[in-house]
Amino acid sequence: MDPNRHEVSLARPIDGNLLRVCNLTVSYRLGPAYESTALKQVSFTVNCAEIVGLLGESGCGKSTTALALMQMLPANARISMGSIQLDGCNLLSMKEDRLRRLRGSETSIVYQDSETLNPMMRVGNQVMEVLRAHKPAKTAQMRDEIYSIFAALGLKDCDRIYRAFPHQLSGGQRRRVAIAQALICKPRLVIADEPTSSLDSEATTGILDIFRQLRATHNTAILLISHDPETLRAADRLLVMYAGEIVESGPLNEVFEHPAHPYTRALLQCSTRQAAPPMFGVNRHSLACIPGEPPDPCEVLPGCGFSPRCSNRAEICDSLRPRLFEISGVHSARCLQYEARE
Amino acid sequence: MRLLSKKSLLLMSLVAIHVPILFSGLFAPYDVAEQNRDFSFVPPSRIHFTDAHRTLHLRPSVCSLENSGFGQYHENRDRCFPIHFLIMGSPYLLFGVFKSNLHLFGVEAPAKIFLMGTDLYGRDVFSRFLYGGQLSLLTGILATALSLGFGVLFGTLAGYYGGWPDAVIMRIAELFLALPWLYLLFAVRAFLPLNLNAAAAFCLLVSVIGIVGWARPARLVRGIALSSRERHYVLAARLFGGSDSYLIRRHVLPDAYAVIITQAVLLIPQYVLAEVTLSFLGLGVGEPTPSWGNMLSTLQQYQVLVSYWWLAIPGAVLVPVFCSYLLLASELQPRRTAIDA
Repeated sequence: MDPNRHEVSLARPIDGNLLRVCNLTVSYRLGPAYESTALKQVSFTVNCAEIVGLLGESGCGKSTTALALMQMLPANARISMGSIQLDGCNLLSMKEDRLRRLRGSETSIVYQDSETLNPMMRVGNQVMEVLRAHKPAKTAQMRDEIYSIFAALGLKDCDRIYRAFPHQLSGGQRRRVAIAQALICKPRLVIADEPTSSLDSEATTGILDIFRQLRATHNTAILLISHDPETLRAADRLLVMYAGEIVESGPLNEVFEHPAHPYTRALLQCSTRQAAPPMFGVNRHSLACIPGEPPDPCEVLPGCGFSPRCSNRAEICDSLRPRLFEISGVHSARCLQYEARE
Repeated sequence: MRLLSKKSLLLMSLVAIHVPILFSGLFAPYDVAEQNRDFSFVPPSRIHFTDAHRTLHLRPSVCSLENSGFGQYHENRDRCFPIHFLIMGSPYLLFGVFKSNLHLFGVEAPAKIFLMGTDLYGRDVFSRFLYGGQLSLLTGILATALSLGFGVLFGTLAGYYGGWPDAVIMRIAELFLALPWLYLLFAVRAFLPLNLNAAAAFCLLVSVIGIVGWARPARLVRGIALSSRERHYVLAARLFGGSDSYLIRRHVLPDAYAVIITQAVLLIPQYVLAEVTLSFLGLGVGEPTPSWGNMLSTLQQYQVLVSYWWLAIPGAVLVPVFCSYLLLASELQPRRTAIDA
């Protein structure tokens, strides 16, 4: 057994942060001398046994964040600044083979689509491969472990599912198998990138319950990434991302009830539950939407990224880039309207 | 309902071709080197079911041949010899290991049975055809294994890693595709001593055919690896801590299996043909070891070509061999599309 194997998990963090991301800046090279900045100085922390929600629309950098945390950014991506610390170890300076031992065993990802299973392999074997890569044991023992995680994930008829090929399972079952793959080694940080996309509300609730249970039983920290505020109701703390920046962060209830940033406010108004459900002729009004489009990530705006779409924009918003202002001890927003208040 | 499906017909033809060649010692009535100087260029023996008095017999027979001079032979219908099945004859080694002298069929001493006639030295063309098939098909199979081995290795590396390894490997592959392999073989052969023993010539043949042919499968496998490495389940497996070698073994190569099998089936007849061509030109395994190519090489003489048609049989037999291999390839093709879909 490799003595370095558990080095990361043995080194206890001093301040209780499992994951600490500091000033992470990622850009994609799209051509010679042509870069688009996907993440701009993103900083956040995730504690043990905490569910952190990351909310934002498509293209705002959510998936880039997830891939950066796994150190699996595509070849044309470049981390120009910042650090990612897992348990006090900097992932950016870590060697590839150590990162590989970390992936799947310490940090794990539930990916957003259901094509993460190889169509030509039985799903049970695919889960076992993960276990075999990180915690090899006797086959029968590993199979028992997989059966128990299948059962915990609400997959009935484990035996059939274990031997099934992906096409023989429903979308929800496939997603659960993918989650089983991510959780089988009991990682301490799970990144769930749109884990419930294209699932119906019942399956969505089931999967969110699984995450809550997991946090309760194994102290797993979960970074829940979604574009849908409803999905993130399972989270304790919410980060709102816009155009590669974290524009607001705070406890879930506070952010949902008193959104501080104009973008968060607008986004929550767009949410389906907030608008009255349209019925035939009765109480019909269209869904709210945010006018305009997110800024081109290739352009560098001098001011706030949201200012062109903002409803209460001031003169200064176009020229001054806001920093994250503290509203209360745990709640902060990146908007100049709070500058005066501080 | 059809009595025989296309698949079973195909299977039967493949068995019918390969089993006699595999067990050529058993199926061949004579040794390859056994010469009958009195019987050169004998046409294929006639098999009779009647004797001189036109009485029907269930057991087929052949009549003894008499040399009437000037290459003319006539059958002596009074001296008929029944064909015996599973009789003892000249000793041989089965698969080069097991000693045996059992032959599937044969006739008693003075008579001879030449199913495909004889050549200049009076050697039985049928026996030589079977033994020669071993060499020709083995060349095809080994060369295919060699070129597929190199092709899959380099194709996977190029497709999976991309970047400069891809560029370098594929440029070299294009160089090989542009090479006229026949002339390359002439050149290689010209470097080597004039008289090569059979084993050395065989190895040379296999390695040249195999090495020159690696580029085509490499390009195919590269294309598959290129698309396969982008698939979500490959990315997912990497996110769960899969190493490169694991990803290639478990996810990328299985995608290529169907194509590799189809390629193998297509390449074998192609390489058999390459062996036949090269041996025909005298670049392959030399006499007295038979191969389909060097058996055909006597046909280079116009006199032989126009007079003794039975010497062209090894060439004609290539047609059913190729047809069944190509049919097998097309039979395997739908499996590939089913997996891709």
